[in-house]
Amino acid sequence: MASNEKGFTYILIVVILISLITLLVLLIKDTPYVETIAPNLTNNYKQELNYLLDSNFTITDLNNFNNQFYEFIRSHNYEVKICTIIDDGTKIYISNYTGTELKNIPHKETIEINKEDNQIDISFQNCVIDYNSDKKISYYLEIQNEKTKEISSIKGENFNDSSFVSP
Amino acid sequence: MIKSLEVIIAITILFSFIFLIFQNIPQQNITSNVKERIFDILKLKANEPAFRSLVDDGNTIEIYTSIYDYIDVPYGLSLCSGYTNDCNIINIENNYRITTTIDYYFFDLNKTISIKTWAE
Repeated sequence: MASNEKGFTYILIVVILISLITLLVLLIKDTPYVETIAPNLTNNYKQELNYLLDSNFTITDLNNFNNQFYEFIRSHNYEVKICTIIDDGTKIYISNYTGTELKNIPHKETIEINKEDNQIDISFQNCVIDYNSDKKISYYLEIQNEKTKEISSIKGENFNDSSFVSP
Repeated sequence: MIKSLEVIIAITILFSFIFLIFQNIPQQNITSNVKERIFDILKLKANEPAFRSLVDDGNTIEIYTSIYDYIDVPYGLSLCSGYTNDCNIINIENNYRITTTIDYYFFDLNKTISIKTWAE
């Protein structure tokens, strides 16, 4: 009986070792695996903004677009900040979905200004348009989830950097 | 003799444990690749007016079949009004262990496509 017990020493050591490693891994990995969807949400915004800008959009379309994405992303439990400046040659559209009330642009509002009347550079949160440059679009989207500590952001000035994979 | 047998069993248990650990690591990478691939397909399809028209019509079966050739893993699809309300679901059973969910929101249609893959 004594020799049998002694005979299992190595097996017992291995089993205990495995148990300890498993326990250690479980303790280190204190947060459960959460699927990361933040990059998809930001890319979804970029892709659909591209689609909107290809159409003859109005200030209402742009405001609805940002409002819908703001709510869509919030429905996935993320805090959202969006700013958009679009220069179509005659007018400049500015959207404020940053959660901050600005002097002339309330939160969740989009305004338009005549380009000829305002020959100045526009800088707004993380969106910047230089009046003299050829840059016509500036947008910034930042999302974060406090619970899962996920943060993702996307900043764009044009849509030439879109890299699609042909299926 | 007993010692040798004991060592063999101990090593077998140890290697089984190591094998299980290494088997799980690539699974996470595969999931990540599948996710990127499916999202790229959705981005590409979202540029096609015909595809957007299918989404607008709520034609779930046609949407499913139009991307079928490009996705090489088993998948299910749901098309929801708004963000997650009133969904038409195709090929997703309750007992599936969903590993990946890819959502794509169409702002002008106010509809969301959600593609789910699962572990077999």
